[in-house]
Parts: sequence; C-alpha cells; structure tokens
Amino acid sequence: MDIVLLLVCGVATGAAGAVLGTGGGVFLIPILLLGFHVPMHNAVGTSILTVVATSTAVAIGNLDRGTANMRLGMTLEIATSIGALTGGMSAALLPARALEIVFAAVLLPTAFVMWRQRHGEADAAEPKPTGPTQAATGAVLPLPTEATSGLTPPQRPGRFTDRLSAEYEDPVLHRRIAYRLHRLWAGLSVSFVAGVMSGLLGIGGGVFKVPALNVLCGVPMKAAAATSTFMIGVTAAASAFLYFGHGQVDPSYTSPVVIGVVVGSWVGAYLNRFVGGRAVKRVFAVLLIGVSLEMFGRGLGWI
Amino acid sequence: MNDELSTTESADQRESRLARAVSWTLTTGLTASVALMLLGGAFLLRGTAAGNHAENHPEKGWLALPLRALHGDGTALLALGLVVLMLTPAARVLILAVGWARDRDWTFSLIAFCVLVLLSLSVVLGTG
Repeated sequence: MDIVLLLVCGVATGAAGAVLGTGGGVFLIPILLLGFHVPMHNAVGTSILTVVATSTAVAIGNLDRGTANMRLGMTLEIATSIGALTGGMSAALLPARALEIVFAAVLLPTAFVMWRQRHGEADAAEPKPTGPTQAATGAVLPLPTEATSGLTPPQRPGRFTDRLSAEYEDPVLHRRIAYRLHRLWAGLSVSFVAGVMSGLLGIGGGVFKVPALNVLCGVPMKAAAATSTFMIGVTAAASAFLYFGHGQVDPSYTSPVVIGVVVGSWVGAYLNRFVGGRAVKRVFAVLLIGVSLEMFGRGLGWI
Repeated sequence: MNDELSTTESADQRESRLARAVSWTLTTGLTASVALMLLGGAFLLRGTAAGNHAENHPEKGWLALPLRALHGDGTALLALGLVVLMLTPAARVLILAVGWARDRDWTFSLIAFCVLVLLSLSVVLGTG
C-alpha cells in the first residue's frame, strides 16, 4: 500500500475528527475498507490504534488544563474496559459483514449528533450558575448540574459519588466550575455500552459517553468531554491488545495512519478556529449517512 | 480553618502533581511510540530491514520484538512503536494506582489496579 497516501488519509481523518468533534474512526474505517480494500477486522484494528493515539494526545492538554476528572474517569474505566473486552472478543466471532452492518447502524446516530451540534459546542458550553453553595451543601441540582463556586469545592467525602465530584478552572469564564456527580449507575451503564462499541467497531465511543455524562450524570459539557477523552485511551487499549494479538493490526499500514492521525488531530485543532461551522458539520453528516447506506448495502450483500 | 485550608491545599497540590506525572507519562509514551515508528519507517525505506533481519531473527511474538528491533528490523520497530502506544494508557493507570496508594487513597488505588488487571487480561487473551 502507498505509505504517503495512507499518511495523507490519516492526516485528513484526524483533522476531520478534530474539527467535527467525532473522532476519526467513523471516517477512517470506511476509507480503509472501501478505498484500500482492507478487511473489516483489520480496519477496526487499525482504527483502534489511532483512537489510542489521538486520545493520548488530547488527554495531555486536558490534564494540563485540569478539566479531566481522573477519579471519575478511572471509575468508569472499569465498565468501559469490561465492555471493550466483550466487544473485542465478540468481534473475533462475528463475520465481517455483520460488523459492517453494526458499524453502518452506529454511523446514523453519529451523523444525527453531528447534524445537531453547534460550532464549538463541546468546548464552549456555558455553565448555568445555580448558586455558590449548592455544590458544597449537597443539594440536588437541576440537570445538567453545574454550580459555580470558587469558594468551597465539593470535597467533603461522604458517599462514594461525592468523591467523584470535582471542579476546574474555566479559562473562558475566568472562574472555577464545581459540579456534583449524579446517577453513577447510569454513567457506568453507558460506559459499558460505549466500551462494547469501541471494542467491536474501533471507535472511541465519546458520542455515547459525553451526552450521557452531561445529561444523566450532571457533569458540565467541558469536563464530560475531557473525562471521556481521558478514558478512551484505556478503553481502546483494552481491545487493541486483542486485535494486535490476533494479528489484525498490520504495522506496515497502521503505523503511517497512526502518525497521520496524530498530526491531523493537531491540524484539526488549529483549523477548528476557522472552520467547523454548522454547514460543514451538516455536509459531513450527510456524507456519513451516504457511507452508512453503502456499508449497509455491502453488509447485506446488495453491493 | 487554617488546618482545613492547608489540608485542602496539600490535597490539591498532590492531585496536581499526580496530573503532571500522568501528563508526562502520556507525552513520553506517545513521543517514544511515534519515534519508533518513524525509525522503523526509515529503516524500511532504506531497504535494510524486514527480509534479511527476519531471516536472522525468525522469533515471533511480542517478546521477540525488542530483539528484532535492536537488529534493525524495520517492521519490528513499527510493531514495537504500536506496542509502546498501547502500553502508554496502561502506564498512566499504573502511575495513578501507585500515586493514590502513596496518598493512602485506597479506594481509587484499588479501582486503578482493577483496571490494570482488566488490561492484563486483554494482553493474555490477545496472546493466548
């Protein structure tokens, strides 16, 4: 395979993933499958390695900014890792066509989220102040729960979920955002499902986790996105070992794609200031629907 | 009140130190991984690798990768880069497990060790 072309594809998918906020896997797998005729299981194996790389690169920045909640991430990683192992082992048993159909089905909600998403939504979610004392006193906050404090962070450990609450400095709003965690069971359940999808299809699963953490668990959007990215590396690694061990990761074409995706994610982060408006997201959403239909057709043997 | 503040501050400082250690681990792992892959690519492009060295070192499996890489096997270097990449998130889990244990935060240390066990299980299932 042409190394330069693979590198360019990696850069393009990495940049698209960063601009559109979906991760590159949803673009990379169809390109490898339809463009380079890589078998489905190998395309998933390659994609999962790129997910590890981009998640690692992005998590570094989030940790430096203090937005990722490490304790919450680690707790949910138990569920995502079990899910990833389940998904990875299931993928080994499933025929390629079945995987293609499942992947095509997952592209549809991804396209829907992309269609609805506003520019920079995950980065610039404006907290809705609910009073400085609520987070500290343990009052139940309306969802999505976001409390600004700057005075007393929710650090009085009582219940386990209290210890998963956290705060971070918002550089845009110039104040500390404190939040309490709710419905841990919901976070664990969705994380398990996201882990299964990640292990099965080689995607990050952020499209499931971020909305769930925000809406169900009350984590502010910015912290939810950062914590999800922090978790994705471990989730992807859990199934990557399986794919690598089963010989479904070919270093000769996976390496250039991984390097390209890492570079592309940096390029995308830069481009994000200029492009990524609603129109661009909607064009890509339509493109994803087209790809989904083609993969449905392939999976069902119509193409 | 002062005791409370100093306790909070030291807890914050410990958390920041841990976050910096994790950030350093991720940066080092990613850099090492990309460097190994670039080196492997360079060896392959120079045409010095795969064939000849694979004949000299026909050992297969993950454990043979460093040995093959040391002998200039470009494909082994690419594969080693990918293995380092996969081990990087596991390394950060280990850092957190040890860091929380040092802070006597046994609950989260145990959780991190559970995640490590799951990752180890994945390696065992992958190689088995």
